[in-house]
Amino acid sequence: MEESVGPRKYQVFVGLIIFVLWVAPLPLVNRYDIRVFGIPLLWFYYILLSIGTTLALTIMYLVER
Amino acid sequence: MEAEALIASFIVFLVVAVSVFIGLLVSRLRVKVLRADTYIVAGRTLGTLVFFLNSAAVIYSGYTFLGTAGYSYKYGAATMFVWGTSLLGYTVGYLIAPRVWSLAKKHNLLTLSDFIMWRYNSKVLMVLAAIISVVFQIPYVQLQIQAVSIIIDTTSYGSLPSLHLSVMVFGLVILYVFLGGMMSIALTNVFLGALMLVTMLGGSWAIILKYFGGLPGLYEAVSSVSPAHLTLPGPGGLRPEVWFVSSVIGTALGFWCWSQRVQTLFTAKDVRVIKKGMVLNSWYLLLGSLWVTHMGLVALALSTQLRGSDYAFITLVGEAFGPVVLGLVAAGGAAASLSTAAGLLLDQASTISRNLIQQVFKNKLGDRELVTLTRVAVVGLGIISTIMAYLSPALLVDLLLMGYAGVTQLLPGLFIGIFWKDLQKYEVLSGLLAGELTVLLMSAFRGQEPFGIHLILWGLAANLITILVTYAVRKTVRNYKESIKLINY
Repeated sequence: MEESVGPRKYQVFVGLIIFVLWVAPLPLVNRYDIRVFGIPLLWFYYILLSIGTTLALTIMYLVER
Repeated sequence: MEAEALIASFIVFLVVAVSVFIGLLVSRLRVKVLRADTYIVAGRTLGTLVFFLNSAAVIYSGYTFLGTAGYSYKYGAATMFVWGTSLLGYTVGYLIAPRVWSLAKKHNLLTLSDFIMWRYNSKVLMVLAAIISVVFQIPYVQLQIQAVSIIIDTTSYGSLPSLHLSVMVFGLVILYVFLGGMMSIALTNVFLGALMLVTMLGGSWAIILKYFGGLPGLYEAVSSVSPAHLTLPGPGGLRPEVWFVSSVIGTALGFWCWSQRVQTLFTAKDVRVIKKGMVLNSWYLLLGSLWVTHMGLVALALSTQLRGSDYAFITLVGEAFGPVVLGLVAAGGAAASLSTAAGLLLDQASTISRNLIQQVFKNKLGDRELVTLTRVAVVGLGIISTIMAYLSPALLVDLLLMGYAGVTQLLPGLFIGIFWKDLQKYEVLSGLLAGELTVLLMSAFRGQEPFGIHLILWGLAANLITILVTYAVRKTVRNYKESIKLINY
């Protein structure tokens, strides 16, 4: 079966959300005095977001199959 | 040479030897028919595993291994922007790359500049795109030679002529690129890409666990030495939030504007391979380079004596685990540099032969002649990069700093042009010139970008505004001409 070459609307929407999450919350999470599991908030947020972005791409691919 | 240096250096050279052997073997087995698409984009035949590891090996360079750790050592939390660059780059790639690949296959496009030529039918624009791609890649290649030099220097504990040996290693890479083209690069990169992942993941976590028992211990140690490293704007206040945000956006948008990355997309055998490749590459970052970034913090927390910040990762490995592990991890670093250099070299050479010679002067050049011309260019560019590695002028560093901002100005022509059907060469050309001029001028005042916003976004802003203005002017002129025609009619 021929795979679609253009992005679907929901995929573009998910992509935009991911972009926003990488930049918009920065002023809120730019703290090292708050710790989550012993990790400073800023680092915790971006590690979590890296995992989240990877999972979002993975799920997007799995849903599309 | 002492035994430790001998062991570590031997492992690095063994990995180089295996890589060159694979490259030469593939060139003997696979490249029998000298077709241009076979030589330049592996005949668009790569399956998921080879495509994924080849693209990862081309994307993650010596900078990933040495530079990101050095960056976190100097600037702390700001280094996390490279995670955003890659992961958002893959997100953009997931959405757009399948269409780019599909158009490339349909129209037999081999380089990024081919794409520009096909979309806008403008030789001027194609030549400009080709020059931008090649010029900004030159310091990138040179950087890989210097990264290998740092690795040899560290593994031999300073007892070997590292730059001479690095150039010799680079010469072997030129040899297999010359003989086997993309197929040799891709299959060698399967080995190198896998080695990089294992050494990044294993090396980083082994160090974190040995010294701190886990991430919380590491951050605790850093906060007692330099808490400024754990937040923005970092030590010395050099990387404010606005810099981080503009860097993430700018470099993510520019991620697929690097010509060698676009060329790796063209090697996939179908759209599914491209999409799986994007997903797997995001896992690659998550498992590998994300943890290497932490090595600068480790060096800081341990007050490790470094000869330069870029030495952080391999110095730590050497001190913690001795010559065998040092040799393995350093081999991973050499793999990162060599694989990227090979991809860059082929892309530069094919851009010169295809877009600056064949399509400008010699349209009737056949496939065999094009491959020969590309091979000559591989050797020529290799020699130029080698000379520059020895001379190492400051100009190259400036070019590299401008590199991302420079190539990102191709974005509207490349990706907006896919979706905006009415976008024509006039808009793209004027926007590209405005964007590049902005980047060049602002580079002269580096570090003083208005409002702390990264150079890339200023260039893109000038680019897009010029495109819109040119588009509006063209529309107005066209409407005016049509109304005159109607009146005359």
